Amino acid sequence: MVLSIPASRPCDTPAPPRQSWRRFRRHSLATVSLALLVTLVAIVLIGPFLWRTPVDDIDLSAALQGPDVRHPLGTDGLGQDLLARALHGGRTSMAVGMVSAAIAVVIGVVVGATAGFAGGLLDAALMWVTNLFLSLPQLPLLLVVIYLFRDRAKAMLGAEAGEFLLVVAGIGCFRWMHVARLVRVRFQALLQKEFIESARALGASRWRIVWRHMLPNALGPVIVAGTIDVAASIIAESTLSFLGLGFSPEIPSWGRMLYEGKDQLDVAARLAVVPGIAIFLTVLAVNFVGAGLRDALDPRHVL
Amino acid sequence: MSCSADTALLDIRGLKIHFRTEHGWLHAVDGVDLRMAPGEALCIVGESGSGKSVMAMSLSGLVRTPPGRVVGGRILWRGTDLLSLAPAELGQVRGREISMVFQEPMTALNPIYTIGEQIAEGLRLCDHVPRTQALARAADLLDKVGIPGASRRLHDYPHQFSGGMRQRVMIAIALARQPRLLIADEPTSALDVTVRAQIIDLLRKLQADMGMALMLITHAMDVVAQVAQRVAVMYAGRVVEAGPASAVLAHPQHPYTAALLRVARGRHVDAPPLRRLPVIPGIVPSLDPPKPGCAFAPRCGLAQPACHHAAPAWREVGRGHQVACILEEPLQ
Amino acid sequence: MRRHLIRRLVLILPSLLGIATVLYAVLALAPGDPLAEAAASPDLTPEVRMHMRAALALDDALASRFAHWLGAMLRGDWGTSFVSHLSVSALIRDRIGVTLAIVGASQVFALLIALSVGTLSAIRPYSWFDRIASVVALAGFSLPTFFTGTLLILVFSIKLHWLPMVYRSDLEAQGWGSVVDSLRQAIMPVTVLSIFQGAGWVRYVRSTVLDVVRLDYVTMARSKGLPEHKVMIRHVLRNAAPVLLTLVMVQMPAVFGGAIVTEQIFRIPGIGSLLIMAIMRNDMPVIMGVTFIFAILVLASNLIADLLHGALDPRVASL
Repeated sequence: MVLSIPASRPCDTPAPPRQSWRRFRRHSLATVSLALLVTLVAIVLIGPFLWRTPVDDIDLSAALQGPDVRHPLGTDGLGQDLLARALHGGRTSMAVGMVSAAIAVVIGVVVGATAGFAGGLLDAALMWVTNLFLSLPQLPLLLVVIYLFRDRAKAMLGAEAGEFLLVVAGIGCFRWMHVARLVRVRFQALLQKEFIESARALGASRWRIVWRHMLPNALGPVIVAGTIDVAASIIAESTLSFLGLGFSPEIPSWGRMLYEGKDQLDVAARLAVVPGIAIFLTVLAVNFVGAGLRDALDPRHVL
Repeated sequence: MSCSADTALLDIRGLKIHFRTEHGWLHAVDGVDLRMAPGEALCIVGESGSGKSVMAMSLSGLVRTPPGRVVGGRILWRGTDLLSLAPAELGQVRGREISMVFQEPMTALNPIYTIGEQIAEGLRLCDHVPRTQALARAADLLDKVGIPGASRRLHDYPHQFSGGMRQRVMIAIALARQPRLLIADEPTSALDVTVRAQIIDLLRKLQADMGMALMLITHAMDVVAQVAQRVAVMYAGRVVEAGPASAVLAHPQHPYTAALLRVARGRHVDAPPLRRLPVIPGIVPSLDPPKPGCAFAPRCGLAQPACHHAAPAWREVGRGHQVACILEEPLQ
Repeated sequence: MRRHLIRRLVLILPSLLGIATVLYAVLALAPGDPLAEAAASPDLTPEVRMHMRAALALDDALASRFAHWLGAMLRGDWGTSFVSHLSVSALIRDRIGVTLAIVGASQVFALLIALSVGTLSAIRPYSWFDRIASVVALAGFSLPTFFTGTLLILVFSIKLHWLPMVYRSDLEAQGWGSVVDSLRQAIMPVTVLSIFQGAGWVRYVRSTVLDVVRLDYVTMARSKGLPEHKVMIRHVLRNAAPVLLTLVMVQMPAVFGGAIVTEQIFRIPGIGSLLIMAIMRNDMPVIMGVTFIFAILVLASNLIADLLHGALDPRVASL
């Protein structure tokens, strides 16, 4: 209908980057969240350098103490400093979040771009695989995989690295599908566009077309999906740790702290509340930033 | 105007509709005066962006009011100002007395209901006609709009029809409750050329048979010649010329109308071969708050200095033929 | 319609095969040969062990081993728990009802929340209701279920003593008292799951309804003179339903995952907590069986969603 943007055809021209940033800034909630996120990351990165109390200083005589000067957040069941664990745990959780999201995005983009660009049998095969992964029972399978492969991974790559890579790979393996679908749809739409045809007519190689023309145009939704993936991965890692199948006790993570704290609710609720709030704030900030990005990149959205 | 105010079926006075966008307010309809007599066939002509569709939709109260807003004017329908009615009351008028046929037959039909259900929907839900009766009437209507095997096709879904057939279905839907005014908003723009004439012809026939008024919105002059008793030409949200079709087409008084006719004739099959297609230079103005003066002046080959300062007054140039232009001599 | 059903069932088979292959591959590639473990539990006598090895065809070629395993899985022959010596299928059968009840109830509530909030938001986009709803939905979606659950337990069970902390599945149906008890203990887990799910869906519902509401046939319906609420129900929601159903379908695996966590927090005796217990105790047959059941549950819910989609959208059924 006239003077309303026709929704019969999806608006497939992304907004240019600078305009998108301007639109993002107008989204006040997202900007605040971005600031919050940057603060949290800074705290978690720099914190351990400023607060030097070791993470694994087990001191059973000081177990479950309330907050005091030496331990601003108190101690946990083993007498370890809660603040230190929270800071280091933040590093782990955020690292897992970002690396898993990166893995998911890379796999997703490769699969989606190939499927969307190639079409035909390759597309059908890749989509079948994607749908297969989507039908898998994610959490049970992830639990089983970690349970089965944890020792081998630790043996092969060392305790910390092994666990980290296993968790990150596991989480990433269950999140690439959404990205792949997004990219595939985008590529299929882009292939219809004339500027691709003209690039081809001018003799551009397939690789160049994909790299220079198509991928940048598909970037918008991928960025948004990647942001959401970070949040989801942090939650996934926390869930795994909460169920006892994430990181070992020596490597603190927020999920792990919740796992240890959930049985002490009546005695020392803060053991669970502190990591819980940390997770909540981080994930909230990431989600809001993601929402802001999505709205900024969608030309239909009126701010 | 064509008829006097008391006998007019539809009397639009000074209608102004603005739209809110990121960049400010757009004056989509900027002071439109229009009158229609009962049973009359009026064509509204103009390019995209002239505000004709918005004006048409406002008659049924279909303009979406978050971005759009009626800021002034009256729409008198058989004496009652539609803009003053409550939504429930307007709902009585809509569909029953005024109905619309839209431009895109591919998207205006709901894909999950059969066309029989869609034709009968208004009858059943608003007029409380029993189902069998409503469907029988739907079959009749399909017949009337020229769809073969009507009673069988009642149970088919929109995707089983071609574009031209779907447009006929849309017309059937619009006629279901026997409206007094049928508004057709560019009903043939999305159709193949071969089908266009058929649809226009169908509309003309139906209008004569049912004695209803027809408001046909188009940008094609040949459609005007085929159907219209009266014509109104719109530009940048205003009516610039209005009158009996014969008069306007033969002796256009507004440079814009003349230009449109030139373009149409240049494209016509029987026209003598041209070296260059006639065009109207420039582009349709954006509908931001208008500058003073005639909206068409920047593109008008005959513009005078005065044209840029003051909007031209509406004046009578023949029987029932008015124009908003200061040029005195009739154009060639 | 029946043709559609049969076609859908047939299409499920490759997915089932695929999932089974993935599961088998994971088990086969894992160190320690868990499949052999299943047959080689130290509690069994050597004769039984050999018998089981033969039954599982553990010494044959890969393809026949897989076929044997798959056959056993499909038959429901999942062996015996190492720990409790009960048949795995019996264990699962006892507990699956609870899981389905909690998951089912929370899905229904989540849908109700999301549909009402999402549609209201979409009808008046960018209004204050819409903005607040979006923020609240995002916040709800950022609260992991284990945190919400823990908080709820903290507040309602420990501090206020209003709701029970431990779920008992042995409450018998006798009179109002036990019905109320059953409801009381279900409130928290169902709330936790519904909030998380519902919050996530509000955005989907909003954007789908927003897309549909702009479509030409909705304006067409209005132009017929239909009252607005009828337009919303008959045209907007009915058309949004298939899209939403697809979105729900894609999230099914995550829903069952959420149930696992909730069962852990509230100590609900469902198959989720069974899985965790089995992992803690290295009870391989149970792990295999429960994982397989989860896969079947996901496929079954996909099938149901598919059928509903076909029922709602005639274009799909006639493909």
